[in-house]
Amino acid sequence: MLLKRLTEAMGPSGYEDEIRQVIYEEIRQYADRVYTDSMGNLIAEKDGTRPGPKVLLCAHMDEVSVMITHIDNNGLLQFRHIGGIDDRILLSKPVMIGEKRIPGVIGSKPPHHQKPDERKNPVGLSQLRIDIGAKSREDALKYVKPGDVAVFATEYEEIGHRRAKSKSFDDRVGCAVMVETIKKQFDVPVVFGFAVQEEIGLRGAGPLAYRTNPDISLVLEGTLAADLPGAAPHGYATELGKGPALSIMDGSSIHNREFLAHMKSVAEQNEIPYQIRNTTAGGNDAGRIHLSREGVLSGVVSVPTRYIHAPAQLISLDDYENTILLVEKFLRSVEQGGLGQ
Amino acid sequence: MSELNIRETMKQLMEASGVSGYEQGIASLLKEAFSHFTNDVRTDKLGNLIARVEGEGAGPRPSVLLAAHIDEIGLMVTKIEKGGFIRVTNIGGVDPRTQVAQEVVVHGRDGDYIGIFGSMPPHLTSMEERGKAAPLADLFIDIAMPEDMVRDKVRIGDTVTIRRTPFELKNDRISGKALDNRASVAAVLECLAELKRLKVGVDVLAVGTVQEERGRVGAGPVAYGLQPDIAIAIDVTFGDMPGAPDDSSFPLDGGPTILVGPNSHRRITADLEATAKQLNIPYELEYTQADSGTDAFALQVQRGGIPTSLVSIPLRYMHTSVETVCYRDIERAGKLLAHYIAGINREYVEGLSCYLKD
Amino acid sequence: MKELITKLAEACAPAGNEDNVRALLKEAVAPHADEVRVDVVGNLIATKKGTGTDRKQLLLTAHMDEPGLLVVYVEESGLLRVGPIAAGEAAYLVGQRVVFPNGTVGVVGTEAKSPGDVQFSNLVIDIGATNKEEATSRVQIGDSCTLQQTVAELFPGRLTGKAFDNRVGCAVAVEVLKQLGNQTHDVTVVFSVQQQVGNRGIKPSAFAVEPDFGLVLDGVRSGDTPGAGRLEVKAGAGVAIKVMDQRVLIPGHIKNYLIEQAEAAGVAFQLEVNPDAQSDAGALLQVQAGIPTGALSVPLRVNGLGAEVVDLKDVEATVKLAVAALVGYNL
Repeated sequence: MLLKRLTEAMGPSGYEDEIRQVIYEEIRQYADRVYTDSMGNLIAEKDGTRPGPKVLLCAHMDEVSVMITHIDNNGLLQFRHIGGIDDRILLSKPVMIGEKRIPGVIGSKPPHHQKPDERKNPVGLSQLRIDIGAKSREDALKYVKPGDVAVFATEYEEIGHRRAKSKSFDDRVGCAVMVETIKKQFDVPVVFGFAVQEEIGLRGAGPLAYRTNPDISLVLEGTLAADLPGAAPHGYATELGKGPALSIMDGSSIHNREFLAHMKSVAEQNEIPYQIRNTTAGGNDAGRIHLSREGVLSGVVSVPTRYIHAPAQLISLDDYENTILLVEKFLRSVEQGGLGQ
Repeated sequence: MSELNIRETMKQLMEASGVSGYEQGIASLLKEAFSHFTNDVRTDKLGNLIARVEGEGAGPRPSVLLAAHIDEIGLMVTKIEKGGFIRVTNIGGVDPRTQVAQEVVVHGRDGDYIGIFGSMPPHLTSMEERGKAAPLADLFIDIAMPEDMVRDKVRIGDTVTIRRTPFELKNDRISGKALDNRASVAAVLECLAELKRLKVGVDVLAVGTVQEERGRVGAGPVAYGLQPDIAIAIDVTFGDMPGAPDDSSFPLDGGPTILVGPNSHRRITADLEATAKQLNIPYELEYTQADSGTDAFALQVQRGGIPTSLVSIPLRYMHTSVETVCYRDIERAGKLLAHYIAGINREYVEGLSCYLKD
Repeated sequence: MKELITKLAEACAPAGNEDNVRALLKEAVAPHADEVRVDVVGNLIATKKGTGTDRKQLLLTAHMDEPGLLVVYVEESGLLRVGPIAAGEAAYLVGQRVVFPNGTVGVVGTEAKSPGDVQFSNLVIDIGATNKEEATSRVQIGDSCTLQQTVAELFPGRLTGKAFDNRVGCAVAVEVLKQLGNQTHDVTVVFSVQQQVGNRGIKPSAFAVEPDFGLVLDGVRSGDTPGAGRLEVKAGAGVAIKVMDQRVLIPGHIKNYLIEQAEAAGVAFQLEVNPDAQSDAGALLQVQAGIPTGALSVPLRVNGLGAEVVDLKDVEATVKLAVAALVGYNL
């Protein structure tokens, strides 16, 4: 199952080897050209039958993760975040470390040993440790070392009604949409850019856009869904089951109004449900792509994801499938002269 | 040409002044030093100083950019007060607490003037006042001239640097201002000196970058223009001190540090480490999870991306006038870089973009 | 100048939707430019060829955008929920009148009980609609609004209004283009978008032009208002030649060139060192392999939201110096 393969693969920012290889094996037979650049971005090109306009589809391969930075004498591991993680979700979670996926657990002082007011405060990063069961520093060094990276040890499962749970839907769901899309034929040239290091500052996308020099770009993301108790409807951002979410603005872009209007009409003409991402929070690779070279006409479509940047994220499979459909119809519309290029 | 005394050159560079945006004085001294290794030295549009040392063999050869920033933190005049006292703002991360009672040099259009960061005499300050640190905006500089003379010689926008003669301490340590980043400039010179003794098949672009302390301003554009195959930044990192975190401070005389993390190309990190081991050079690994805080961050994403890494010199008391390094670490950094560079060829460079397993 | 500044400042052009100001500027520059175009991100680019033989590319730029509020949600009640577009402190927006590019007017309210609790998430805009359908007949999610404010003349030559940063700069650029005459070098005027949200528009436009020299026109806060901190630039004391702002250190030789031109032309000037000021200069400096960049700022007394004051003497000084710098360019 594609979503399972992609979300369970390891891919901390800067260490995307496993996920890159998994995606490569999924797509290689469908592209005219597949290659990597010096940062590790994975780029697959389909030439189509026309010289243009060239469309860049982009999703990032990396996920939020942690890096082991120091080993205490007692064999417990100190670590730091790679990408934005709220420390409160780390406590008591299992992780997998390095290529060999050494299992570890994140722990700290048990509640029994905490004073009542201590228990009201989140446990800070400096008090958290990963325990791999080592007896001492020397013992730990047989299995791990500082510089090793670790991800949440979450398994993909379909749960509830038409929902899926896993880690890293942000942005393996975007990658999955692209893998499904590359199997299709389009007249226009389409570049499938799987970017690295988005979570630590949108790093891979700029070089990727510069190298591939597209006319139009669509970024595919997993984005926050806060349709939860304690949030008012105007604060949901996106809601599960209401369809792919179209972006209006985030911290890295004020999205192109023409592009947004066009995407809305593609969805409406094809009777694909969609929603607007009702927030200006967050940021994504479109921030770098739209300002590349002389500017690129860009937009973002996202699959709503509850509990983003946390070990167990949740998406609607209907939203996922509708996003795949919307991307296909969007590319067909570009074939037919949509976005007036 | 007589051999360059790099240690003395470094001390000269430390005493000279070059605040971010106003690096010409440093650039001209460095140009002098570079001329011991090549005649091809030029300045780009932003003031970055570029020295090209050609390798052997038929062209086109791969190129390696070594980036060491030549600017230092300092101050800029914002106002001349009644009485001729001068107000300043910071250029780069200046801690106002380190400026109090300091001797400085105010760089006017037509001359340099010695000044003192004024402070109230202890007799007139209360214990409470002495418990508070004054913000930079409340400090002032006295250049010992009447107000109209000050207004004639000094203008808003003039730069100010710390006045400090370098000291030699025990155990090959040197202390002074602007070792961030003159220590790295010295490391680059040591590298060029070592390269003369090796067979090198690549062109080395030794660049003194500008305005690093103000957001890595010079490094990106110079790399965009030069399009090197590999870029290595050289900067300083935190020397160990009580209170410094375990995972991000390093002993002096323990060798240079090599960057590990997303801002470094993993193969370059591994090959720098292997080179150090081969040469028996002590070194430490510096673990970062995002921005390294140096020119390396800007270099990595130019055009279609550049394979990048960072080598650093441990330094105590960063951004003060008594920054301290062990000169042996600078020699080791230079040697490490030179031997790494000597191992680079076209196949190596091409391999840096290969990540897929077939 | 007064008429142009008034028209531009009263127009509604938030970062990300600068259409209204772009249209006014296009009309204003078309008679004086050889070519006018709009690029993919919305920058308005007007070029005027020079008459010399060894022509350099000079870029003059002023940003068109102002802060605003983006509609992110429409309540069943017809009230609008918003997110900030470089909008500063939410509390200052309460009670303000706002306008959308299509002319729809609204007023800003809040659910918060005290000024300290006001945040963008508890602001609402009331456009007078009583239900969602009525509201969406005029405003959609994704539309953005700005303050609504007319320009008034306080003393002769001293105006107050909103968005003088940077409609004043835009007006200067239009006037400079008119006064270039048969200049030696090629001059491209870029009216850029989205400066307020991170100096975005200038980058792709400069990439396309590849200039030898850039001159940024912007507004800068002067020190002669309460709460301004220790800023030395004063309204009425002439054009401010930028030395340093939050993101740029102007190269020394360019600063000196601009000072020389000001002295030669007899233009009143002052020097701007303002670590908090923001402009496109830093972004322009770092495009491609680096672009030598200078900047001229019109001093603005900023008394509060939508309450900027400018002295037209300073505007004229800015025009005069910018023309001298471009016509006499010899770096």
